[in-house]
Amino acid sequence: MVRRFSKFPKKPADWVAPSAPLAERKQVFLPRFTIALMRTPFLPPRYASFYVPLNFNKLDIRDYLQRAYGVGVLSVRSYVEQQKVTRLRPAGKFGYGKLRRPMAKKKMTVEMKEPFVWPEAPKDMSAWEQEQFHNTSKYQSDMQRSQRPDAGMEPNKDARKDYEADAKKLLEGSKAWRPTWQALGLNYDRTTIGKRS
Amino acid sequence: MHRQSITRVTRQLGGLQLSELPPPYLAPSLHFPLSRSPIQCSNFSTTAAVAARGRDLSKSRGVSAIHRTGPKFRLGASKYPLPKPVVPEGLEKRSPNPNHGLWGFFPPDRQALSTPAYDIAFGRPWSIQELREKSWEDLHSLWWVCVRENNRIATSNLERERLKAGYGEWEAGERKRVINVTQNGIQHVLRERWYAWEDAQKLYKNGYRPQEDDSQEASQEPPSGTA
Repeated sequence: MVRRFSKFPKKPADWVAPSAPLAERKQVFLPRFTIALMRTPFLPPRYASFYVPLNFNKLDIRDYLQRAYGVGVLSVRSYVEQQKVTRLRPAGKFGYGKLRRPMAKKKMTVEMKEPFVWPEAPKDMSAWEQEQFHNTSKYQSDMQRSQRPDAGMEPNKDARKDYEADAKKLLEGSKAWRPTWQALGLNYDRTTIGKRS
Repeated sequence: MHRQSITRVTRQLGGLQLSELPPPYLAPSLHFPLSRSPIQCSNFSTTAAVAARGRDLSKSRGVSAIHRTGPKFRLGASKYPLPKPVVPEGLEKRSPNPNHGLWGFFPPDRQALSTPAYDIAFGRPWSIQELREKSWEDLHSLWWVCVRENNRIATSNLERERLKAGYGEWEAGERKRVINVTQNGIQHVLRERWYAWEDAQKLYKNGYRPQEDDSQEASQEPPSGTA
């Protein structure tokens, strides 16, 4: 069989040129995806990076930003970020499962016609109750660790700290040493036993 | 050392005759050298003749960036003063466009991320009955309001996780859930309209003409006002 070479590959029958009027092209009226803007302090002000769905392409993001946000785009770079292998179960569920690789993420960096500078991060985090949040999460993780089967093998750090503080006080002399039975108010004078014998 | 110098001398002299060498039992190394000398020796050189013409074909000979010699010749750019490097902190800030489109990814107060108090201050989703009364243009613009709000929430979520700001994930999730309900409602209403249009097409193909029926009924029945 003789292979036939054709210089110009044949286009599909329903192919529409990108220069065709909008009504003839395939339009997306009700998109259901979400894109997220990333903070990129290392990029010049005319660049912005987005997390986009995996099936997004460069033409898509150019058109999307132009129509939904009025942002003129000069060029686009894209990168698919492979995720690390993990055994954690998806969607933050409890326990471990098989080794699996989470779905990759796609990042796109666009060069815009006009510069945009990200707003500064807020200094005061009281609106998000940052301190309370981290105290709570630390307490929860400590509780979970104490419920594990091998929790008994771990040292009791709180008790160690208390012993250390007490020992320092005794050495300084600010606290007088009392044996445990005195501290508990027990009486070991076995007077009755002595009388019998 | 001495042996090598003797060897070199013998080589440079173009190779002595065997008879001029001392006998091998006196100087065996001259007859059977164990190792060749690392110094290349020849009694004539071909490069000397080329170099002697005073023509150097390499234009960048003697030009070194390490020794800061500078170019040999005056370049076209030499008439302009060299720019001085600037520390990035010392650069003056760009004055960005206050009406930039990317502000749509931020809350209305233009902070980097929204507070939980702002996120939780939302109303109820659009009910299907309300959406049924809207035109396609209204529904479409409402859909894009939802899309932009979803993008804003995703951006705020990223920033909250990056800063480890604290609470706010649940509030953002609730807001997103209400948006999704509205979007589902819009899709439901459009689906209803599509089915209604299909049914109408079917009826029309079966010969149903509503205008004729109405006019026939009107002519057959007496007007209700007189009854």
